[in-house]
Amino acid sequence: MNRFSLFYLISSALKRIKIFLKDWYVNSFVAFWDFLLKTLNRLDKTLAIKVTFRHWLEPLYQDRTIVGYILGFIFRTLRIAIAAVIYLVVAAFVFFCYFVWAMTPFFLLVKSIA
Amino acid sequence: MANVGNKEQFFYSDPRLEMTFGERVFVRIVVALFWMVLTAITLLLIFMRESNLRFLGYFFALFILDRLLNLNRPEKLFDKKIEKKILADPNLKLNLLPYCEFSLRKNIESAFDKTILQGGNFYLRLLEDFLADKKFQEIFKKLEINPEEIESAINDLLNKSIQKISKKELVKIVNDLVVAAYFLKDRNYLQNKHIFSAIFYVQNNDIERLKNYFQFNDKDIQLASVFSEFRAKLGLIRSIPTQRRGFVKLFKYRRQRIMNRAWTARPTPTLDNFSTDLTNLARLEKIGFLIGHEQELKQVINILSRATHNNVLLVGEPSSGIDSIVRHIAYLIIKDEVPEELFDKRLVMLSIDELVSGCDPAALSEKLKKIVSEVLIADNVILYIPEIYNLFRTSGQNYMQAAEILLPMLSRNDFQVIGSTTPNIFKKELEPKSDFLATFDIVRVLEISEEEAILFLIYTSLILEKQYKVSISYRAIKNVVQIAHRYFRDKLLPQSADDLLKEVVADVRNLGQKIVTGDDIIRVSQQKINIPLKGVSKEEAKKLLNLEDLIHERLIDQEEAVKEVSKALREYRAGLSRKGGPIASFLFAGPTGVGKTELAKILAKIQFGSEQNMIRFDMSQYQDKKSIFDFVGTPEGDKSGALTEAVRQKPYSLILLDEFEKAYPDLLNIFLSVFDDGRLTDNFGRVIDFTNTIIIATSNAHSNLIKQRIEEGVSIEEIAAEVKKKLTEYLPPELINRFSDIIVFKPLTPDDLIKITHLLLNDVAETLKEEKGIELTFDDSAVEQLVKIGYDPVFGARPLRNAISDNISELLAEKILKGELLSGSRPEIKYENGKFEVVLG
Repeated sequence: MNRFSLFYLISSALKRIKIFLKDWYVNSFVAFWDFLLKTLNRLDKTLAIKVTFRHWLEPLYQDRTIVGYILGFIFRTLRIAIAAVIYLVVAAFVFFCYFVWAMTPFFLLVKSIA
Repeated sequence: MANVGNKEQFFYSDPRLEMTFGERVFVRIVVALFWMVLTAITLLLIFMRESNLRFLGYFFALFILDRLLNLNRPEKLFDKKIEKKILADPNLKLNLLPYCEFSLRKNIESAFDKTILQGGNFYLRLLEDFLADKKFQEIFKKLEINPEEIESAINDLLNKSIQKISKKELVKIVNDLVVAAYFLKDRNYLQNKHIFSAIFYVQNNDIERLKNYFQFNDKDIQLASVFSEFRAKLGLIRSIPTQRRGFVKLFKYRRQRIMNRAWTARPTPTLDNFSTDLTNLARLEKIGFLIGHEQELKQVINILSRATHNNVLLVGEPSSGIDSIVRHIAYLIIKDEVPEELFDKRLVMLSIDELVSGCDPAALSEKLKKIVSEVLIADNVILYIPEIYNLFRTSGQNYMQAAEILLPMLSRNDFQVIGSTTPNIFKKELEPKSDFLATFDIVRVLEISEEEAILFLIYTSLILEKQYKVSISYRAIKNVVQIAHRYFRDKLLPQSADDLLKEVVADVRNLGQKIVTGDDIIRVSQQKINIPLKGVSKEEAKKLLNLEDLIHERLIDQEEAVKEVSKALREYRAGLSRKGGPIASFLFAGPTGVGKTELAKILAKIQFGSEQNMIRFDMSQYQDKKSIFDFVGTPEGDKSGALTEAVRQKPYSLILLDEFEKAYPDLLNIFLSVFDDGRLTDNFGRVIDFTNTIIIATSNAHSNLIKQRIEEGVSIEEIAAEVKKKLTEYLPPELINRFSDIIVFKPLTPDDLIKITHLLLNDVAETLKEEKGIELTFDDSAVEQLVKIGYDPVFGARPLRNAISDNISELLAEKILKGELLSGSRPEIKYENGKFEVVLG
């Protein structure tokens, strides 16, 4: 066999390692990120942080009395606060999972050497 | 994903194709051995007692697992970044190899090896490999092609040509194929199905022969592949729904809400009583299915998203899909896939009929005021008012009330409204109301394209297959769309095609068949419209080849005219006529009563199944400027055009324009576009299709000249050329030149008249035989006398029919009523002693 096929085999092996690293770190990050966005979007259908934020200072249910404005502000602030906490918890959980995922090969390698 | 760039920017270079066959085999063996050895080592390590070696085993397992999970995945995917790069740099050269799924690369390599070793056509080798896969067999089945038959055809072609080509040439062929596949891709990477479709797009003699033999084209393959893939995927993921709306993507979250998410709205209890909340239906997945109308949808959403002047009036025919567009907007609102301005809104369909029925004006006024107030306070309602013109209907006092209260609000843009109306009513009733129209932006909803209708019908067919337990081929879907679009114009696409498909499926099921084919669609359609639709059958071919004889059974002499008309019809039925214009357009010139109209009637019967499919216009009645409006409709829309409406109703017909030269000159000019493109736009902006019509214009101009030249013995071709020149006195030359042919009809000779009289008398005899069982014959004396009475130098043979009716039919009727002619009798009609007599034999 000539050098061309040997060179091809060596470059393919190196490429395979590169692809593994890309799959494990870059592509899986994209997958985790997509999952996080989808989950937050789904949560937003209930918690509606974006919409609530846009209407923060508006009266509750078009009640344009002072009570309506105060109640609107209180309820929306509460909603934003609760939503923000929930979103943060979800995001933190997803990032933690990714961290575990990303660390697994390192962990296995270190353990195999140690 | 758009397939940006031009073909010079792409290439396919696989180092494995650069190797010799031996090297490729070596590489394959080494790679296979590597994975086998690695797997064995991994297993071994995992079961070791040494914990650090076990962890190494787990690490290798991750590596193998990643490979297994992404076995067929391409190394790279097309994304926005690479698209931008392609667009920004025209000199960019992109290798498509990393964007191809692994099995595709393997298939190319395999066909490449076979072609190198055994010779033959690379495309056929690749196709042969693809045909081993059930997925690709299914595509051919959907096209009503037996995979075994096409496989055997491929083998035959391969056996005929085993010529070997150089590796360099082969690499170029592979390159061209993959580049062609890039432009067909519907994913962000290249798959086997794209290469499969691309085989039929590249120029290759063997592939062309296959396409011609099995009668399919590149587009068919592409759509049939979408069809079978879609079916397979749907069958795999979830059960096929029973209604189209079931295709709307499922939501995991289905919470019903009365109030909006921003807590700004108010309930609208009165409005809810007379309306349907479309956003709520969308949330329940009951509405939202839409195919096509992308342009209109984009326009409507843009208008609704404006800060001011944000009302839309959708103008379209009842089956044009207006409702589907509006319902799809509700679906997009629910999915939050709308601009911020429409976020969290409610789309509510108000029924004017329900609102006004059963209540007195005072109660109606009260209800309306309440509704308007609710909508204003809620501040998140978009009202959809179908058939908005009902607001102006004055038939009932209640309608007036509705208009009076709602219109000022609409004018002030107090709340958003989507209205709908038909083009006809828009033109007639709404266009004059400029104040009302000023509050709306008009969006015209047009019929969807045939390709979109095919996609729509693919969804419908899946439902019908499930309901009726039959299989529907792609060819059936293609035929149903094409036939419905051409011949069933009562409704627009896709509704017309949908109705026809359902009818055919029911028919096929009654016959006990399991597959609905393209031929079934043609068969049922032919039964419905009585028009030959399929490629010429043997029997029909015989008829077409002897068309002259067939016409002469009803028309005497006029050899040249019959020859020309027959030629045009044969060319059309053989698929050789010019595309774009009508089937044919003739100008029949000649004296009155020589058979011009008769030939038109015969043609209508032969080509369109019945004389009823002849639309006749006496053009001498269209002599003033206003005639144009009579023909194509008034700009105000209060009157539709006689010609456009007739062709819209009967798109497959013969149009006879008697005394063409007498029409108003500007009116004649509208035929320029009809003869050229086979299209004419009516007063409602609808494009009327003339491509399935035969147009015959007749003219008596220069009849004396024709007569004179015939007597001088001038040939009919020369007379036709002279008449053509002379006709420029009456008709613009550009119009004369657009006729397929100008046919001169000769004056009738005495012999011709006798033959015509015989023909007409035979009709009477046949009727009598059928109805009463009486066998009637005619003496020569009677025929000669009828010719004398029935021939008029000015009107030709036209009075003959009346002469027969007055002298023969009347006499026979009298005898029958008196009981002198009974069933089984064999009377003869003679002319004796200055009168016609019935002599019993």
